[in-house]
Amino acid sequence: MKASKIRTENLNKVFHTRHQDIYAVKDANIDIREGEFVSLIGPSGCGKSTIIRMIDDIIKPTSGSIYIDGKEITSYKRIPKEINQKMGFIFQLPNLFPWLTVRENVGIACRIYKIRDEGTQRYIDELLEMAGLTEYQNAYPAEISGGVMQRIGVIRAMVHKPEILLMDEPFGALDAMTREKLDMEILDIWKKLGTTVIFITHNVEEAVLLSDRVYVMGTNPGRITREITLDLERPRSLDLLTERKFQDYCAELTECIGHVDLRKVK
Amino acid sequence: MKGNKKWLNIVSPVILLIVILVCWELYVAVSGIDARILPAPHVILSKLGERFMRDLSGDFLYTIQVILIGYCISIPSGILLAALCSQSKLVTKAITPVLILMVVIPMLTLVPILQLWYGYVMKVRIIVVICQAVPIICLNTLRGFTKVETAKRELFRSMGAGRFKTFVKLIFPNALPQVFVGLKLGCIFSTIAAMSADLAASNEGLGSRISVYSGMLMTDMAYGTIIVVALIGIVLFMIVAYIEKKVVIWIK
Repeated sequence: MKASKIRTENLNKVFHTRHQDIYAVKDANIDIREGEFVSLIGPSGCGKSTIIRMIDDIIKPTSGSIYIDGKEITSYKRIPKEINQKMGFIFQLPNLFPWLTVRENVGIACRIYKIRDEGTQRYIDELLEMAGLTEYQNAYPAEISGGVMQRIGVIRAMVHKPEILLMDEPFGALDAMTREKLDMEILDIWKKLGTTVIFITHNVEEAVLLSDRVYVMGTNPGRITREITLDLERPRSLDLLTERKFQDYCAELTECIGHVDLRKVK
Repeated sequence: MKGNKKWLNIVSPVILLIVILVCWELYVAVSGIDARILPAPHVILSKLGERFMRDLSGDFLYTIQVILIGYCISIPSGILLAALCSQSKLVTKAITPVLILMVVIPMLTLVPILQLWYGYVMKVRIIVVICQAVPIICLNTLRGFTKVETAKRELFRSMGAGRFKTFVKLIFPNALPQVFVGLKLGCIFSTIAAMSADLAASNEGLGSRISVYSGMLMTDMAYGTIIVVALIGIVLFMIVAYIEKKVVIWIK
């Protein structure tokens, strides 16, 4: 069994409002091994985005610990660059900078991390090629479509060769067909690069299609309610969607999320 | 189609201007109104052409200097002030109403006081321009600096970018459209401020010329001077708008 890559211990995030304290995340314990593809699934407001934002040091946990490669990171005010650089974050919306070209958008992390070695430009070329974006590289975000923009958002998170990819419903805003296509591309990339992935979604089928393991989350307070290991073969393809085993897992997950919670999902 | 529209953008206001001038011309001819009250446009223009170099060029250069020096000092000052204030939410909240107050106060009211300190020098008018332009530039820029999408901030945070990097690579470029709103208003405010300072200080400058000409019942030249002032403002505005178009390419 491979070593633990990301681990959290009794992770809590409380938002204080005037009237009450809201537990966005309560006592979350997750453990993700190197190279694993793990999904966090749950209805809106269950704290799934909050968990990966705490892992990536975008927000600070109220209490509890996070370990990356066995190193505790919650005690830092800002986590050290070498740990930060191990992670890449993919946002729900493309979140591109309109004043930069596609290529410059992809390379923004290199500018922030000051990675200037020779291989960088070649690696950007490679990533653009892989995502089929070479022809768009000198265009500005305003000139391209939503699906293409999201691809840019995805490869942007990889340009500094992170070992961990944190994806916050990356394709939630896209139509089903484009999403399935990009899901497959993500699996491709994951296989090629061997990164550890935490994937956030509220789509049951997407979670089953992609993951080795799924954490199911519930609301009020945001917490992990179940953990399901998926015994499905790899490499996976969209043919899986029609298989019995796949559908059973989907049914099981849907059951776990619960009918009451499901109705809250938009 | 697109080319056609661009063409219309220029032609339609020109046609409107011509229509207004023709109506004005006709009204003057038909009503027989005294030229000392309302001269015909062609008289204004020919008088202006005839006397500009001799009578107005000195005041023209004087006022242009006041506007340009004042405006050029105001740009970096306004932006820098906004950059500093935007670092703290409390300071932003505190300074915003003060800036609005300064935008609203006509700064020509400073002229008599400043002349008391400095005497009749150009510096007084430049200070008036700066006092009028800096607040409007700062106010708009500050609005740009404080409105950044959460997701973009989070992206920079996720890359561990510090305060300075976040400002240079995210907050400033993100605010550029707002900065240019400030700069365009700033050049208009500079022109107005220089004009009002001229009127209040009254010995040199295009503004004081207008009041002198009116006093001497040389109405045609008073109007002519107003046209010159308007042209200065329009040309300045167009230059800034042109630069904006080259810089802020992502907003069409």
